[in-house]
Amino acid sequence: MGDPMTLLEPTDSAPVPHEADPAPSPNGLTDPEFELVMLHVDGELSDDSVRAAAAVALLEQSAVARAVAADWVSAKVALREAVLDPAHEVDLSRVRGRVMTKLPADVRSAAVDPQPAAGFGAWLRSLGLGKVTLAVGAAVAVAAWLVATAAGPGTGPGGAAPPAVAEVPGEAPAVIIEEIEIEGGSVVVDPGKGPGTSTIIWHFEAQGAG
Amino acid sequence: MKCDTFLVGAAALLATLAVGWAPMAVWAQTAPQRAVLAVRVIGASKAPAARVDPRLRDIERELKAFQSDFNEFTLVREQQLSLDVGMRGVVKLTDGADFVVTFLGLTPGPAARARCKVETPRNVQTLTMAIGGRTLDILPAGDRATIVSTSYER
Repeated sequence: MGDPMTLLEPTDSAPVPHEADPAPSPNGLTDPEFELVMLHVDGELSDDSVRAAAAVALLEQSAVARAVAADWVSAKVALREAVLDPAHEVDLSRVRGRVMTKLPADVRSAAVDPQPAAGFGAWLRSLGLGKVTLAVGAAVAVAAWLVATAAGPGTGPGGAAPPAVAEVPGEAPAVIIEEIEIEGGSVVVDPGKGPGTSTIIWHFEAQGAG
Repeated sequence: MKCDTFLVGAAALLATLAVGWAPMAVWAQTAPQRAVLAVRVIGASKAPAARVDPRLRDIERELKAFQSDFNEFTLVREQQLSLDVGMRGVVKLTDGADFVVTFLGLTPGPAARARCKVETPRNVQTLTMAIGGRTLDILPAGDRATIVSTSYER
């Protein structure tokens, strides 16, 4: 991926092919144009010379496109300086923490009582972890903990009948994980979607870790 | 006169209760704590047809959370650990590695929870469980996985 600022320099390229007049988005570009600029800034068009040339031409012709691209570059720089660089300085060789108690109170309440229709991805986005999701998706899940928040019906191992859930006072969960100690990687909590459902805690091992 | 007798009697009764209660309280604090945990080692794999070991019916719903990766679940080993405080219980996993549970004690309060340290080959957890609480630890290994169900029975 090249330097985004360099890629924004106007060059002699073919004009942008305009398709069937899509409505401009609030930022002044049509959705296809906006996507083209984003892909170009992200360096995602290196294998698509036609679209890359179109992106360069658009940037040359349109002050709005240049402004959008500059904003996007600024946002990427800010993200790198504020989040990614500090994150790389963190020693994850021995992660140790209290997963749930690290969540802010409002997030924790959402985790305890998520919207029924909210999926894992939506829940992650509600935590502002959309970027993390992408990174996690490229990693390798090495373990997961599934925590039953309520005892199921029937008999337990050895024929012993598990006590009724009502024996758990108030709304105390059946299991509280105080601390997870892992050898690097990331931990993501996928809360249960309601009473009797389970919470899954994923441990993702970083790429290349053994 | 009657009032005095009543007061004296009440005081005597309270004193008796207090004398009796103190050792009981001390006993309650020093009584040996024990937790009985059921640990089941489950083999998970992907098979042409879904199959859940009949002995795992009580956790079938939880196992189905992983049906996109595994659809065959077989009980490999079942062990009941009766642990005093500080004791370690060891259960062998399918690959010969150890799954270790250490009972750290009961939490204070009317509904005591068992506080345990659980060590798998890849992580260490400290958790508390109410009676009936259960965790499943999933340890993938290629296209298979070992699942360990740990439940606090009493």
